[in-house]
Amino acid sequence: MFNQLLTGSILAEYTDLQEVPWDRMWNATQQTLYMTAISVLLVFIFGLILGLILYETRHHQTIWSVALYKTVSVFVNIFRSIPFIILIVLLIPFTKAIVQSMTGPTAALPALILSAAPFYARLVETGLREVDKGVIEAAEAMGASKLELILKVYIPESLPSIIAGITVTAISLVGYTAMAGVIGAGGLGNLAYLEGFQRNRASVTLVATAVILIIVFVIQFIGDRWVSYIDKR
Amino acid sequence: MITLEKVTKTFLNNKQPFEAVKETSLTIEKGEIYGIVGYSGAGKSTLLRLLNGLERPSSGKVVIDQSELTPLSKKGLRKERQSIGMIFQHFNLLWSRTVLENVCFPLEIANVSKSERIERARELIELVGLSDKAEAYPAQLSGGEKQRVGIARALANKPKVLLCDEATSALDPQTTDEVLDLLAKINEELDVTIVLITHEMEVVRKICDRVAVMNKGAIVEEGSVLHVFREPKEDITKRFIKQDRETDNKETRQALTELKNAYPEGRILQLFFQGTHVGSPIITKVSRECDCDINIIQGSIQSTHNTPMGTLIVQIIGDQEKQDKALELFRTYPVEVEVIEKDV
Repeated sequence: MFNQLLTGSILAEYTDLQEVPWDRMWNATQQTLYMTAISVLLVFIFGLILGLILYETRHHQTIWSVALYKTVSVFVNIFRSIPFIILIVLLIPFTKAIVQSMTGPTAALPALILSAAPFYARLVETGLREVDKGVIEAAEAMGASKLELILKVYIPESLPSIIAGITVTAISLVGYTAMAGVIGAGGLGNLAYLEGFQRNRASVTLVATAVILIIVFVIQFIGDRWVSYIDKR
Repeated sequence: MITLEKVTKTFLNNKQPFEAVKETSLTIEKGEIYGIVGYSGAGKSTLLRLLNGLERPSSGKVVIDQSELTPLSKKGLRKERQSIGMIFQHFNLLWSRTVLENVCFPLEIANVSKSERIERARELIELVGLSDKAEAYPAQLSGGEKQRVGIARALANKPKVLLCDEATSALDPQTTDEVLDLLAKINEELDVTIVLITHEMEVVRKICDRVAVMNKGAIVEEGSVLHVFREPKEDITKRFIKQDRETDNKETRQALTELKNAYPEGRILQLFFQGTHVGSPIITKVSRECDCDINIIQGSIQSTHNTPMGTLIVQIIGDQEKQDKALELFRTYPVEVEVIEKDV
C-alpha cells in the first residue's frame, strides 16, 4: 500500500507536465543546439588541423617536427585529461577576456572547444594512421605534393573515421553543454538545474533529458548514415 | 633510357648501416621490357624506387631519359615523377574513388583540366578493357581488374617509363597472364619502357627482353632472357629457372598421365620447338614420308617475349616399323623429341 502510494507520487512528480515552462524549454533547446553546432564546427576544424600535425610530425625527422609533435602532443594530452567541469571554471578569466562575458551560451564555447578539439585530434590521428601506406606511396610516385596528399589522399581515405570521430565528439559535446549550463551557460542543462533541481520539478528535468536524448539520437543517426554512405571499402 | 651509375643505397637500421643496394650500374634501353628478379630482401624493391626517386641514392647517379634525378629538388623530382608510371603488388588504388576518378588522380596532380582528364581517363579505361566498370569502386573489382585500373592510372600522364613492383604476385596464374599480355601490349603500342621486379621467373620468361638477377643487394647476372635461360651462370639464376620449369612440369606431367590413358594406341611423342621452327610444317612432312597417321593431341606455345617456344604432343598411329621411322625422321629436324612411355 505504502509502496504503491510512493510509486504513484513519484510518477506523478515526473509526469506533471503543467509545471514545464515550454517557452523556456524551447529557448534552452535552441541554446543547446547553438552551443553544440558552433563547438562541433570549430572542434572539427581545429581537431582536423591538430590531428594532421600530429600525424605528419610523428616520425620525428627533423628537430622542428620533434618540437612541434611534442608541443601539440603535450597540449592535447593535458586538455584531454582535465575534467570538463574543472576546465570551464579554470578558463573563466580567459573566457572573460575573449568573449567579454562569463555567462550565456557563447561563453561556454572556449571551454567546449578546448576540451573537445584535443580529443578529436587524437581520433583524427588514429584515422590517418589507418590510411594504406601503399596508397600514399602510389600518390607520391605520381608526384603529389604534401598538400595534395593531405587533400586528395589522407582526408578522403580516412573520411569514415573522421566522420565517425566527429559524431562521437559531437555527442560528448552535447553532454558538455549540459555541464556548462550548470555554471550559467544556458541551455537544457541550465534549465534542468535551475528548474528541476533548485525548484524541485522532476518533470522539467525529465523533459530536458528527453530533448537531449533526441538530439543525441539524431546526431548518431546522421553520423552513422553518413559513414555508411561514404564508406566504399 | 635509364642509366644507373655506381648507385648505392644504405639504410640505417637501429643505427647499423645496411647496404640494401650495393654499387650497381645498369643500362636499360628505350622500349625494352627489363626484368629484375630476386628473392625478397634482395634489394630489388629499393632499386626500383631509386628509379623514380622514392628512394634517394646514397651515392651514384640515376639518369632517366637524359635527366639526372639525383640533384633535383623535391619539386623538380615531383615533376619528373609525373613521367614515370608505377604499378604495385597490392594495386594501391584509392578506395574512396571510382575507377574513373582513380585514373583521373595523376592527371589532377599534373594540373590537367577536368574535361581533358575525363577524356583521357576514359581512353585509358578502354585500353585496359574496363569500360563497363568506369563508375565502379575498387572494392567491387577482382584483383585482375584492380591491376588494370592500376595500369591505366600509371599510364595517365603518358609516361616514358612504367615501373612494376611485383605487379602480378597477388594474382592467380590466369589473371597473371592477362596482366602480362596487357603490359606487353602497352610496351608495343605506346612504346613505354617497362622495368619490372618479380620473384617469379615465369614473369620474366613471358614478357621480358632482358633480365637482371639480384642477390643480396647486387646484380649477379644480367643479359637477354633467352641467353640467361639457355646458359645461366650463377647458382641463384639456375635455381630461379628450375623453379619456373618445375611449376610448368607439374602441370604437364599431370596432363600427360591423362593423355596416356586416353590414347592407348600407337606412340605418344612430345616435341619441343624453338624460335623460327615453330612455323615449319614438320608434322605433315613426317606423316607423308613415313606413311603414318599423326594425330595432334595437344599443342602449346610457351612464349618468351620475342621468341616462341612450342610444345606439341602427337600420337603416331601405324605399325611398329613406321613408328620407328617417324621417330628417326623427327630427330633429324631441329626439334627436341621425347617419347612418352605408356607403361608408367
